[in-house]
Parts: sequence; structure tokens; C-alpha cells
Amino acid sequence: MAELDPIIHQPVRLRIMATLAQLDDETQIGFTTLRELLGLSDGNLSAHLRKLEEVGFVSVSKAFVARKPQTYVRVTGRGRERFSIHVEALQALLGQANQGEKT
Amino acid sequence: MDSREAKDDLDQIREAQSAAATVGVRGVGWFLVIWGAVWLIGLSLSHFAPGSWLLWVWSLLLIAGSVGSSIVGVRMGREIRYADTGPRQASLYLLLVAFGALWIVLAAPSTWEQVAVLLISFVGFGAATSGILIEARSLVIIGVVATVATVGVYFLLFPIFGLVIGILGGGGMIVVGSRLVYQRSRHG
Repeated sequence: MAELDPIIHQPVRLRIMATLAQLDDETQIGFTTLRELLGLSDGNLSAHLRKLEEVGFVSVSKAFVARKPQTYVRVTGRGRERFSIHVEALQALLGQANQGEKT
Repeated sequence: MDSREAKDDLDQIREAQSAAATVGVRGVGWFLVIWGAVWLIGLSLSHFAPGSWLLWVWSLLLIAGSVGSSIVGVRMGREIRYADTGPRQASLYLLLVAFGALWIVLAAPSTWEQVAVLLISFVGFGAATSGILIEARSLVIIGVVATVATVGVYFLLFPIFGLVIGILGGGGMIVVGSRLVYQRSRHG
């Protein structure tokens, strides 16, 4: 049975991973856009991204756009895989509870 | 973890993913609003007040549209980067512009209506092919429908071609673009 991932389980990281997993493998989202989407502060988002980067779930890179440095984030293959296992585990938990109610 | 928490987490995931699906949409929306306005103003003036002064009006409108598009392009670049398809798509647009310019010179259209049909069909072709490239079905549909509608109006409603294309095409682009910008703004 699929297992919940302790890193992804944290609520803010769950939303970060859900957002990044929605984009395709080669698409990177700007740090500012991600912060706006999730309604987080710079410091809070940075701290959680660092944690996710440490375990290899996301990749953070920098690039210049119109001569200004920008930070971009994308989900890695490992991160996408762990996220989908986490979602499966959540769905299994819900499914079990629903079955329990029926019987 | 109990089932209630699992359900809450799944709801959070759905909400985050629905917001993520709007990323990049605001830029497309602004492009449509800008070029819809250029189209609407330019074609309406061409219909109601034809004359040589229109060349200047169109030049100014195209410069304004290009400046606006550049600003939107930079803002879009900050929002999202397509590492894989970006360079391929840029090459595609460059090729389209080059071929489009060549074909207009070779076809030598004699009226502004013919130039408009040629331009719309090129833009429609570009939208449809890049839609296939980036797997965006809506772009393919928009490209094909816009081209077919324009050619249809050109042959069937020629006396009011500018007005119909200006209002339907330009107005439609402004409406759709505004909706996309609003849709994205709701998510921060």
C-alpha cells in the first residue's frame, strides 16, 4: 500500500508540491508567482523550498529576465513520483473510510 | 491520519492545482486584449474613414501593440519559463514571420482587405501549429476557427468585411483576453 511522505505531509509543502506537480516536467515557475499563488511570505516559501530541495523533490535555478535576476522552481522526477505516491496514500485512506462506513 | 484529514489534504491539492492551471494565462490574456484593441480600432477606422492617413494610424497601432507585447512578454518570462518548448517556439514564430513577409511580397495584395486576410491566416496558422507543438488544443481550435471565419467573411460579406472582422475579431479577442486576465487575478 502507498505510504504518506513525511516531508510532503506538511500543509504548506503539500500545496507547493501540488502546484508544481500540475506543471509539466520542463516548466519552471517564478518564485514570485509561486508565492502569490500560495499566499506565502518570501521567508516562509524559501524555508519550505529549501527543505524540498534538500530531499531532491524540487529544483531551484536562477536566470536573468530583462537583466534582472529571477528565481525559478520546478518539480523533479523524484518529487513528482513521491507526490503521486502521497496522493495515492491519501485516496486509499479515504477509500478505506468510505468502505468502512458502508459495511 | 484519519479520513477527514485525508479528505482535507486532497481538497487542498485540488485547490492548489486549479490555481496552478491559471499560471501563464494572464500573459496570453493581455496579448489578446492588446491585439484585439489594435484590430478593433484599426479595422473600424479603415471601414468608416478610408484614406491614405490610415497607413500612419496602422503604423502607430502596430508600434503600440509591439511595445505592449514586449512588456507582457517580459512579465510572462518572470512568471513562468518553458525550458523545453521555449526556444523551439521562438524559432517557429521567427520562421512564420519570415515566411509570412515573403509570401505577402510575392502575393502582392492590392487592397488592405487582402492584406488582412493574409495576415489573419498566418497568425491562425501560427496559433494552430504552435498549439500542436505545445499540446494546447484551444490554440489549434482558435487558429483554425479564426482563419475559416475570416476567409468566410471575406468571400460572403465583403462590403462590411472590416467592420465585421474588427468587431467580431478584435472585440472577441478583448472579451476572451479580459476573462483570462480576470481568471488569473482571482488566484493572486
